[in-house]
Amino acid sequence: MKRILLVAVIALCGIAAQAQNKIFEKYAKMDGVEYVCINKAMFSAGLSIATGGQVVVDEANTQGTDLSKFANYNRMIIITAKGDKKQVLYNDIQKLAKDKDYELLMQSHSADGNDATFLHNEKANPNEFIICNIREEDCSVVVLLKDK
Amino acid sequence: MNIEQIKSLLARFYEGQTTPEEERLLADFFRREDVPEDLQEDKQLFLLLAQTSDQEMPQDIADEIAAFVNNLGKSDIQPLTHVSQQRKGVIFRLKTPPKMWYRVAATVAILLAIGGGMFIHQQRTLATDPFRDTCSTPEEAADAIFYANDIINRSTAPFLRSTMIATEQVNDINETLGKIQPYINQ
Repeated sequence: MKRILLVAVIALCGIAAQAQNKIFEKYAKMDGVEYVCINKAMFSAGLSIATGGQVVVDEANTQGTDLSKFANYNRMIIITAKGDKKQVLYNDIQKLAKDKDYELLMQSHSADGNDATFLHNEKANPNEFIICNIREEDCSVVVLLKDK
Repeated sequence: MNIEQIKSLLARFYEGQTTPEEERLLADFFRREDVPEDLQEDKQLFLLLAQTSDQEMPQDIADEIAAFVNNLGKSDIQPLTHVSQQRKGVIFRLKTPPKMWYRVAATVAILLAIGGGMFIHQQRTLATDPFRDTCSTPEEAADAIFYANDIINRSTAPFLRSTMIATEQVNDINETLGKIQPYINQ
């Protein structure tokens, strides 16, 4: 009986650990959603091609952006949803913002409908940083991760 | 065939001297509906033997039957009146059922089914793993990083504008304070 209970507890721990990743897993297989996942080796290779001290000027503002900020992370997930999936993705992020494991760092709302949400996973993964941006065309989520 | 020929064949059958063709003739005769009354018992016995002749009998039971048959002439048990002699010896085929092989085969089949199922499940899981690399080349990864950078820039732009506005306002306040400072200190 003790062994059965022990096995059940271990199994439930495994299930709980996977639960927080479900929100991203479902978008990996969803139609109408662009899903990009870059793991450690490919992220390092891509970053070395993309940066090297280059300065990229964004069209939205006049301030130059240094890609070296990505050097603090080694994994990334990008989700872009359009059409009816746009609101679904945005609502999922808002639910995450209310989750006790996540800290809402910043949230903005602009007149042109360009809203942003910044989340940080303090408890389960302090190295996880989520940026959500919704505008008229689409809703995009960037998840920056750093594996140990 | 007439009844006398049937009885003759039957006697030879009990002595174990009939050929398979003769036994077929007897079987065909006893399967008919118009078997005479005095041959009804033989009919039942013959049809029963014909049904069970191909079944395997355990060795110990076969030995008991053989012993019983051998002791028919030595005990009070009377044979059937219309039978002159019983065939002595083993009637049924002796063979030990291969129970161990069935178990081994069943175990192997179950293990193969479980192993095959697990392999297929693993392949499907790998194919649908949401955390596997979607970029096949570093160049694709670099494009994705630039795309992510655009998203982050769009998201931080309102905060940067607010920061710039707030910085300007603070600068204005400081400038005004600088102008009135001499008058405050006086």
